Amino acid sequence: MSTLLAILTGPAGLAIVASIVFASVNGMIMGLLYLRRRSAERKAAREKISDIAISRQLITLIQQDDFAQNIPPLAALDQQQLHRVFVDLMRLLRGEEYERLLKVADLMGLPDVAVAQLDNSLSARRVDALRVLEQFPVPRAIEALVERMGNDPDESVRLEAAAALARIDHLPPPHDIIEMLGLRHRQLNRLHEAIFRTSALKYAHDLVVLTLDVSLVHVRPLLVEALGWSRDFSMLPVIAEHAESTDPETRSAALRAARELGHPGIEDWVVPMLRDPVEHVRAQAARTAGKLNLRGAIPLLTEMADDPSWWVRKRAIDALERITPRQPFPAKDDAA
Amino acid sequence: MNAATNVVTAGQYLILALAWISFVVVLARNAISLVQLLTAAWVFARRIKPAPRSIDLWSRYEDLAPPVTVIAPAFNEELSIVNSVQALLQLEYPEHEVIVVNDGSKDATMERLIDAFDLRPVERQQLVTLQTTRVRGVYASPWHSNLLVVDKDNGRKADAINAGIGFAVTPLVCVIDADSIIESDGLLRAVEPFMTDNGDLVAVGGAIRIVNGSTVEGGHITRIGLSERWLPRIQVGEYMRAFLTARIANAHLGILLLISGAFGVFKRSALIEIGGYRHDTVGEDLEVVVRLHRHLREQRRPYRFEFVPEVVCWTEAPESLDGLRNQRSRWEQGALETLVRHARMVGNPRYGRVGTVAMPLMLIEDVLGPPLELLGYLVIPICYFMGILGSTFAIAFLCLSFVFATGISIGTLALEERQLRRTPNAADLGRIALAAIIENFGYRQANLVYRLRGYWKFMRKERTWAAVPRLGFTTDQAAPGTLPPAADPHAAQDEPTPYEHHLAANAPADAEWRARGAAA
Repeated sequence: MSTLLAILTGPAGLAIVASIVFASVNGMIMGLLYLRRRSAERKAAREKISDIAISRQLITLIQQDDFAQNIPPLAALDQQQLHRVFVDLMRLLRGEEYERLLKVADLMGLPDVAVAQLDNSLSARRVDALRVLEQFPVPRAIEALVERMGNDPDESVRLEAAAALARIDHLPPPHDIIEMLGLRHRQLNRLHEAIFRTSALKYAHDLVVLTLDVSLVHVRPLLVEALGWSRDFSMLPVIAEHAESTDPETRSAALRAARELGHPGIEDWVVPMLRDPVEHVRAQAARTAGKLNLRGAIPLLTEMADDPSWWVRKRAIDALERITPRQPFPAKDDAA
Repeated sequence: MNAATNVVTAGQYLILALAWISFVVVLARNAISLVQLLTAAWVFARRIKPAPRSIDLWSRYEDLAPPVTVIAPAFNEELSIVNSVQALLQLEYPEHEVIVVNDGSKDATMERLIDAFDLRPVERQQLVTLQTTRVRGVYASPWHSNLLVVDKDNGRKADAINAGIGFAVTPLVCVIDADSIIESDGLLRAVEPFMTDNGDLVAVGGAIRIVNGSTVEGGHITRIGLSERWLPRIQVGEYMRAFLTARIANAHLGILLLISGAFGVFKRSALIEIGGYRHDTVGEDLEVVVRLHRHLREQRRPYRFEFVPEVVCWTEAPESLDGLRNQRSRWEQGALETLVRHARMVGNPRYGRVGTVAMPLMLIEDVLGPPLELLGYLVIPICYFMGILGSTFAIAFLCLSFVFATGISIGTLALEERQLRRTPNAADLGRIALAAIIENFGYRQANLVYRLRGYWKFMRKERTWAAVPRLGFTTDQAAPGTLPPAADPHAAQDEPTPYEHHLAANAPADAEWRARGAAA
């Protein structure tokens, strides 16, 4: 016995013990996961039947006038299963039926577990909770999302909360977005753009005010561009004003916004921008002229075919092809 | 007599030393694998999972997703090319162009493409010329505005990719193998990190799985399955180890050296800056990432590579030992070529963790590991029978080689099951676990021999590219080793996008670099 002990406590012995213990532990974990998977597979058919039964009960429930008084207790049901059934049903329902089902979810306390999980120390778990709340956009859930967007210590969680609010159209006003996400001094990315674009439908006039704020020069191009997503032609004069900005980023943003709004009445100020001294502004102007079929831009676009910038030349040629289409594909006989 | 005794003793010491060195190297490789497994488990536990319905947001704001060009080099792919291209055109992505580069196929690849997509010759200017062979023609389809086919002389895969990069006009390029089967949302998943990028993300790799045993129809996987044969089954476990532990851990630690040639998304400008892929290596996918690290470190620019653990792509694994031998010896040869070419990075603090950690790890894994482990299998039993090593030492070596390594494989499988659950069912899970055990009895040793063959090919400076037999994939041809041309710095720049302007404005170092590049 003592010999065996002596062998196993030496370096080679330790390697043997460590290998066996490590492989055994992993083997046991794998064994448990294997059993869990088998059990899940066996239960899958039963769960499917059970899911359908719960769905039917819920459909029947929301068709009753006094549905709020007949909510079954949550404790009697499997939380995960209930969540799955609700999400599936909510994707199918619209209008009043959707609202009633949402109310049932609220009364059953489905968002509560997720709200509690927002205090988890792991950012990843808090994001999981945000995604659950996004699926149940009741006032409590929206309030919790806004709170996270403003106060979470992790920047990525705040951004996730903002994206979740954008998806359910409950973003706070743009000024609050800027402050909550700390955008005055933060590097901007595509998701920030998406968030402002979403807010433009509801807060176009707030955006206009913010574009004039001198302390927001850093964010201004995003704000100007978002105006293009407002679907409001009354924004065009504001956009035209920003097209005269000394900042080339803002001029570019104005061109993109105008392109998105799609009003051909912008020819007067877009065509001169084809001569802009900054390369990427010229490229944006060419794209805008092409998309909006601005025939008045044809002479300048033709000149731009000799632009020193490859990108400007390409965008000018693309625009000319859109405005004056020629047969892009020769017939097979011609090609031969 | 004394002299003879001394020779015997010296011989014994030599064998003993070799046994110890083998033991230490095997121990080191296992320790590295363990660290990678634990790091991957930690990353999985703490990571913010990708948006479950990212498509919801992106389809709403589709022009926010950066446009991507998928570059598919094709050589003698007449059997599968039409299905592959159709699948690429159907990828769920707001704006993507598919550039198929026919690399001088000797079969009817080009004719199949022309017939299937009604291709017509078009004029399309190449933004930058990185390829070394002649472009015969460029074709487009009247029915698929996002398809471009480049027909060129044969110059091997790297040359074909370079030709595709030259025609790409999007900020991102996705480089794939023509026979890769991309998950329908794979491109979307792989590009997702670029949505929140602050400008320093250079490339993203994604997890790749083995398609053998699955049902593929029209270039899409319609049923995920596991091969009936043990050779591909063993490789399923190997791929999991590579993609779910090594790559995730390495990406997290900032030392990711390989983005698989089967699927990788790169910033187009970064590839052009370094002159594209090299033509004179058989491991062009490894070499290009190492060269990007080297270039960006030497430029002192902030950068990062990311890895997406979600499965983005499926590839066919060799089902025969011949195929496996060709593949593994090629991988080994590619690794050695890269190490030699970038030898000055090894242990060099100028290259940060890549120089001080990643390159030495590659040295252990690809240079010292295969011959020394194989040597251990020979020398340790000899030492035992000669009585110069105890049985405990021999058993310890076997435990480290077989038992611990099996533990790593099983641990990786457990991680996959816990986090991703892409194994079709419990029965297949059991089969893969069994394969992880069987792997130790013959497969591992054969692999080591195949890798030594890679050594041999490297020393002989062989440039032939022996293909892995696959459906519709035959042999490629040798091309003379040629260096990629220096890229035009103007061409390296992408068309500026809105948020990049902000970055340029906010990051003086980056703007300064751009200015220097333009001035040069």
